[in-house]
Amino acid sequence: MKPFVSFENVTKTYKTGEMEISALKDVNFEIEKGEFCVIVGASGAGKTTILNILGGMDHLTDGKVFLDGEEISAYDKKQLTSYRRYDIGFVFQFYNLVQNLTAVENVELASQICKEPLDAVTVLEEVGLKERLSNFPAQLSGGEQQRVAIARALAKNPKLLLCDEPTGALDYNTGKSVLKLLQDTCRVKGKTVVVITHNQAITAMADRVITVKSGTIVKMEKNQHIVDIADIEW
Amino acid sequence: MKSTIWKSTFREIRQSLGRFMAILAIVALGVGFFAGLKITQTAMVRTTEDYFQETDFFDYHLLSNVGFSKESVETFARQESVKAVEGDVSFDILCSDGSGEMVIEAHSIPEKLNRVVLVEGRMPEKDTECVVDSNLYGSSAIGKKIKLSQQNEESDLEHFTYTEYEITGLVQSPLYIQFERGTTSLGTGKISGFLYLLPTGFQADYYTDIYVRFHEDFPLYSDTYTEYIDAKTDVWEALAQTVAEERYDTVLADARRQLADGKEELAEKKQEAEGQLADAKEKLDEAAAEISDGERQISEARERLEKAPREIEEKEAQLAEAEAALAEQELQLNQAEIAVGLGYAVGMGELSKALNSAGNILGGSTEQSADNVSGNEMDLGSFGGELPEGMDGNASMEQIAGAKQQIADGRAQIADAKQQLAAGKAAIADAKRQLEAGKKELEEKEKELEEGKQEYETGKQEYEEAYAEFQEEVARAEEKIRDGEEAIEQLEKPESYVLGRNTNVGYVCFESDSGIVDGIANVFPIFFFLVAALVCMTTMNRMVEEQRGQIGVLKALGYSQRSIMAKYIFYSGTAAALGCVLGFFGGILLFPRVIWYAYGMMYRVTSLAFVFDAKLALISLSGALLCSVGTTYVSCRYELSEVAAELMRPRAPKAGKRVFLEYLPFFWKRLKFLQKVSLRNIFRYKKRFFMMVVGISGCSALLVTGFGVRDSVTNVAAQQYTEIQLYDISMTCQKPVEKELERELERRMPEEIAAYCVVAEETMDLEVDGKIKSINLVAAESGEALEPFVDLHTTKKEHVPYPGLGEAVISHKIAEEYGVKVGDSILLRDENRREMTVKVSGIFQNFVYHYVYITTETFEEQMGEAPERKSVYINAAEGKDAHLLGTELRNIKNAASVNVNEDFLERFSSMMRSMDLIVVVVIISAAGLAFIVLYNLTNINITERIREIATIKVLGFYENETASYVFRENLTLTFLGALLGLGLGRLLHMFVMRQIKIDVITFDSRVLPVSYLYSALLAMAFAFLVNRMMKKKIDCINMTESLKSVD
Repeated sequence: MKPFVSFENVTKTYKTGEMEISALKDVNFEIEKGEFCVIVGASGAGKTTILNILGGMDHLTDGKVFLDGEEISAYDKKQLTSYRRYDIGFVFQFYNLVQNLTAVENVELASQICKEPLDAVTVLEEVGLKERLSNFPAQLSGGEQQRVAIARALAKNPKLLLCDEPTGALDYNTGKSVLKLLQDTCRVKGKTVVVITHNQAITAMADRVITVKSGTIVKMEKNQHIVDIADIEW
Repeated sequence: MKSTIWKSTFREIRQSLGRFMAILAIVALGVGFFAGLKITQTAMVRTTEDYFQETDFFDYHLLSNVGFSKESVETFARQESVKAVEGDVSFDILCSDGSGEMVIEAHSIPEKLNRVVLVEGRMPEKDTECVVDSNLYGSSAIGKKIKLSQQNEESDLEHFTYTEYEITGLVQSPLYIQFERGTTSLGTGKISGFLYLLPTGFQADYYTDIYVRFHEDFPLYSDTYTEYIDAKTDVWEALAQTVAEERYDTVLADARRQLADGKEELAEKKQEAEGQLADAKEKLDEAAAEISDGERQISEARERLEKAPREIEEKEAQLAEAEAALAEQELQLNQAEIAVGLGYAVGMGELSKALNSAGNILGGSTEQSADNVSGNEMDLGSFGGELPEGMDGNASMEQIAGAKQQIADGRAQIADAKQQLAAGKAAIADAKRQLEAGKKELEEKEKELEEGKQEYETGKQEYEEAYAEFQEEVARAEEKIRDGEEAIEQLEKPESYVLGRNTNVGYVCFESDSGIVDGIANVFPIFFFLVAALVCMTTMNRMVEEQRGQIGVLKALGYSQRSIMAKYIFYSGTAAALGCVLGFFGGILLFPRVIWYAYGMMYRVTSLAFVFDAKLALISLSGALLCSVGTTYVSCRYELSEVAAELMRPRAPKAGKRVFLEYLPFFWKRLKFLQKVSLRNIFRYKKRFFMMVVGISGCSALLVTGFGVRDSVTNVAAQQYTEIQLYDISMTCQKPVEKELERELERRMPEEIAAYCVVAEETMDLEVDGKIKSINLVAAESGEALEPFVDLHTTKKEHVPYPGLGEAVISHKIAEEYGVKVGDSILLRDENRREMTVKVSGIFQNFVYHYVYITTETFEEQMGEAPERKSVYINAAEGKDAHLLGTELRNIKNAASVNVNEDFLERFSSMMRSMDLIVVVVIISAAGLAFIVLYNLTNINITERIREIATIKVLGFYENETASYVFRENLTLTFLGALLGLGLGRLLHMFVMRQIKIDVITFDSRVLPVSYLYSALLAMAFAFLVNRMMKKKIDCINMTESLKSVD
């Protein structure tokens, strides 16, 4: 059986004028369904490029990408949009909530375009924001905002939850609780979660760790000693 | 500013060219509108001023009822500060050019003042040539002839040297800068145009008008000019009166002298003629006597000749008798001789008896024949017939001897007689010949006499004719003298008029009409400047917000607040300054020209002068800078006052807020989710909301005004000729309509003419509170008669009943302008200053010219006589071409002019079509406004929400969904703005219409529903267009933007 997510010889080069910058070179990896995967690497290593390609936000130059048996790399622009719409849930480093919408509306913004969305209020209750449904982002703390963002991603009921430095803008404890939420989502709901981070410490809680360096995968391993997020410190 | 900041500023401009251009464009638009409209009146007045200066437009126009002598020009020229004086000859005359008759005002070509401007062709070189009104004729008229109509009075025709003039060119005259040509007492009462002749084209030996120009160059319509002229008026009025009186005296003296001369001449001529006639008469009489003499002689001769043949016959018979007698005598003589020879024996007595008897016989017969012959006039000799006394019967021997002797004598006598007989015969033949000659002579004489008689008859006839002529001439001359006397008696007291420029229709109308634009210029630009200020403010606000971090860094690096501020002020300042220059020159070049072009339908002057007004430029620049730099300063000040550290931290995003609509659950709950989002966004940024609404409402208000002006203007003619004046053709006659004409019209019914109605039309002055207005008075028999031709209704389309006796209905513009209400009385005055007062019984809607309708009865009652019914309104039969009918009607003898209303409709429509140009300008301006506002706003919206849009894209919104997520607010605001604009537009339209006033045309101030629709649709279309343009920008937003931090 084919793995849930697989990158096959993926290469990405950016052209800026005469210059050709190679962001990814011959990247190969796969992620199983229901796994909590952490892609880790230093700044500029190419992890964001992987995220962009996997998230359907960017095309690759060469190679193939599969999700759930579908070849994403062959999609055109419109198909990619549908892919993002139905299959991917995205959690941003800076939450990217619409300032003008309340928490529940921000979730609805995503859920209303999906085929089988989850109820916005329920999802928000699940992420612990029952009391803050009608608050605007500006009235929420960073952690709360990220929870709203996660709720927004989850409400779409995606096949894959992609998180870009979800703790990057958060303080230590809040970051931890957000990671806990993500881990729970994976464990309880069986969602495949991919977290991109530069924080090596987080790898401890992952099922699978992919290490990126200078546009190539240097290491891909299954974590044999999964540690609960509460026990990780950095 | 340090060089790095300069660099950064220029780079900034290059990188955000769209934003820079938005400021530039809105400032250009605002300044263009302001400067363009503001300069228009100045430019128009300046152009006309130059035109008047170039053509030397008069300052004074002198008129007198006795004209001016050629010498008086010098008198006037000697006056103080006079630059030039010129006499002009001008007469109104009926002309025909083949298509119909019209009144033309003929002038002598001026050389000094009011010089004409040649538009096409050449000026006249001969006195048989002329140049004509370029408004009346096109270039095709050159080379054709213009004829003075035979309908003219002799006294009018005699002013002209010829009866036709060849057109050599088209001209414009400063005396007629407007399309109105004035009125006249001739023909239809309306002057159609003018023509100019060489002075020798006129017969007049005096000037009808004198024009004066002073050494002055005060601005046109300035108070200083008015004061200058006013100060001179008294002196000039007195002078003109003096000159007129002198002229009057000369004219009078001349007339009297001429009259006296004439009388004398008449007397002389009469005498001379009478003498000649008497001579002729005498000769004729002599001739008559000779003729009768001849006649008598001839008849005598004829009588004689008639008698002569009979006499000759008688004579011949006598001669024949005499011959016969002679022959018998001879025979007897022979017998007697025999007897004498035998009778010796026989008694002597017997013998002697026989002898005696023989002698007796002989004697008798000879005597007889001799008598006979001598009876003729001829000289016949005598027989000497009697026998000698000596014969005696006693002495027979002797007797016998005697007898023998006697016989011998007898024989001798017979021979003699025969000789005489022959002579007689010869005489008769002669007489016959003479008779023949006499007959011939008589015939000749008769012929001669006949000829003489004929000659006499002709002579007599000639004489009679000459006599009749003489009498006629005398009568005519006497009448002339009587006329002359009468004229002298009636010669009006001299009156003179000193008319200023303010009596020239073109001059006066131009002042008020050129002011129209200025009124508009005060409203529109304010609006554009407001939008410009708003655009600058939002743009710069956004820019400063975007560059918070950068400002913070600069501040942290130690740059002063002023030098940082300078960057933004420079940015907006250069945009505004460039826009101002662009807009200013674009505006002052474009707007006056477009408006001038539109004015071209009423004013024919020259191409527009370019006017640069430094003061206006300064005002524009200050306005532009105030809008840009001012707003930049205000929006930057707040940001710059923050400390560096605070600036470097990302600014907390503007908090979301509930909008008041959310408290209306019944409304809010019905909305779709994304609609709610849009509504929140709309209310989130008040400044932008305001700018958008102001901009778009301005745009649609402009559109409504533009379309509305067209609605109000273009439909005027259509309504006038399809809803009010329903008749197809109006015919004006030379003489009041007579039976013959009516029969002619009836003959054409119903195949060609559906109906006709004869009315009286007259131009009259309406006087209300001392103000005078020229109106058209129509007097019809009754309302019913007029009904199929004129539909009188109020502006609310209610029927206006036809006025009764002593009443009148008036058109609504008169009523509005002079505050006349139903029930008021109005005073009407005709050319002869006869007055009538009528009560207004109704006010009807009317658009072209001013009308007052009454009944003929009212006219008669007021004026004491029936009006001259010279006009006929005609409705063409169904399917009959009005133009065709019109052409046929022109052939009717009495027809002076035949006008087809369709032509008027077309003429007005084409005139009004130039309004379309203004509408186009308005639409373009509105589009420009809408584009700038929408573009700017959308641009700000997008750059500000790049992260949000990118996020939305990442969330999987399709392209169209993303676009509508952003643009729904634009469209909503456009819709709101447009809606508001429709209302504003109505107000603006009303304002503009109040500014536009043309005397003869009443505009129907209205905006058609479809125009509102068009305006709204156009505004929305502009929004869609901008959205389409901006959609590309949204499509280009990279989703990776969503991954970036807020900065």
